[in-house]
Amino acid sequence: MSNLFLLVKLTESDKKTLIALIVIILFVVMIVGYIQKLVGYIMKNQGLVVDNLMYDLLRTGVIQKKRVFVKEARRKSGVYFLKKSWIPFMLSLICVGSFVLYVYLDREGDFSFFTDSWGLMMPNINWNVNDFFFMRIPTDFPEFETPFAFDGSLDEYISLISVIVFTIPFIVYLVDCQAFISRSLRIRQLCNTYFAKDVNKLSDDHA
Amino acid sequence: METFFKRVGIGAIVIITSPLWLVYFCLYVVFGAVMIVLTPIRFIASLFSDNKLKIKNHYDKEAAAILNQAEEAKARGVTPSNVNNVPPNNYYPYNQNNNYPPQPPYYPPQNNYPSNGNPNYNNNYHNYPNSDGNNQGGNR
Repeated sequence: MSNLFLLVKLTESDKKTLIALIVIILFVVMIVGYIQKLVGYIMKNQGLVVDNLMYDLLRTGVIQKKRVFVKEARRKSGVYFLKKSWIPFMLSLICVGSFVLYVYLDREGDFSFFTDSWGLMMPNINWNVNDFFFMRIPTDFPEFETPFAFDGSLDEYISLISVIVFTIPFIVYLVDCQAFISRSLRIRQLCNTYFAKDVNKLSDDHA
Repeated sequence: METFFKRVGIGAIVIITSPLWLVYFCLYVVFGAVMIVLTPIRFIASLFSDNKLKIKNHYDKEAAAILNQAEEAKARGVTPSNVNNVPPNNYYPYNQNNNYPPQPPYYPPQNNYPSNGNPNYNNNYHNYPNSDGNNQGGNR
């Protein structure tokens, strides 16, 4: 009952804010749900690599035991992961190493130029917020007080290029890790389907 | 509307369980990094052992041998009606314990012309008359 009284005490502005808040939360959660659907679709396709690697072995009957299948499939998946991911991993590692080396040799270990440069390059965003109980939530689209700024100084070039050169291979490496997980899940799934002892299928064979 | 709420529900579950799958993902990232770092050691170790650091190993060689035998059998002139003579899925080319060399699968001879090489064969046995009643002397 106390909740109902609380709702009655709300002003019109509070009610509008509450509705806006609920709609925004629903929208964000729905987007997360669709992202999950997309990731699931990508992971399903990534897991099909196991089928390619193991198809001939199962078709010819070379592997007939579940334990052998799991061991061999995991071994192949691991080697496949190594072959795919060592280049992006080493690229990102070399990039970070060379950046740290540069800072220690040329800047005497002072990383502040990196944060300062990014602080200058990024825009200042002013959100219009409104108090709502214990929260401050945005009530309108943000205003850009200062836009993206790039004045072409050496610090900004170094900061920007180092981040880009590090980020792209690292994202590729993360995608490879995701594919590795997908293959593990696919191996587990195949164990439960291909090597399943289905009595119905047995009765069909005897029929 | 049902799809919308289903998707919202899945999104809520994803958000609630995000710490779990993020930890799972991070573990794999770290595990992958350790694997890559240890690869040179594994590679050196693989040079002295049977477990080569390659995707294909002896299982793939066995499978390729079986498939090649099946293809060669087809190329030798097995008629399409006999394509089912390819080795079954559970066919093993040789017994690994006895180390017998791989043997091609046995295919029965396809004797479509029984009289070839056999002078005592009665060709007239298979002769059949044509529509005019004359014997053509051919095999059925």
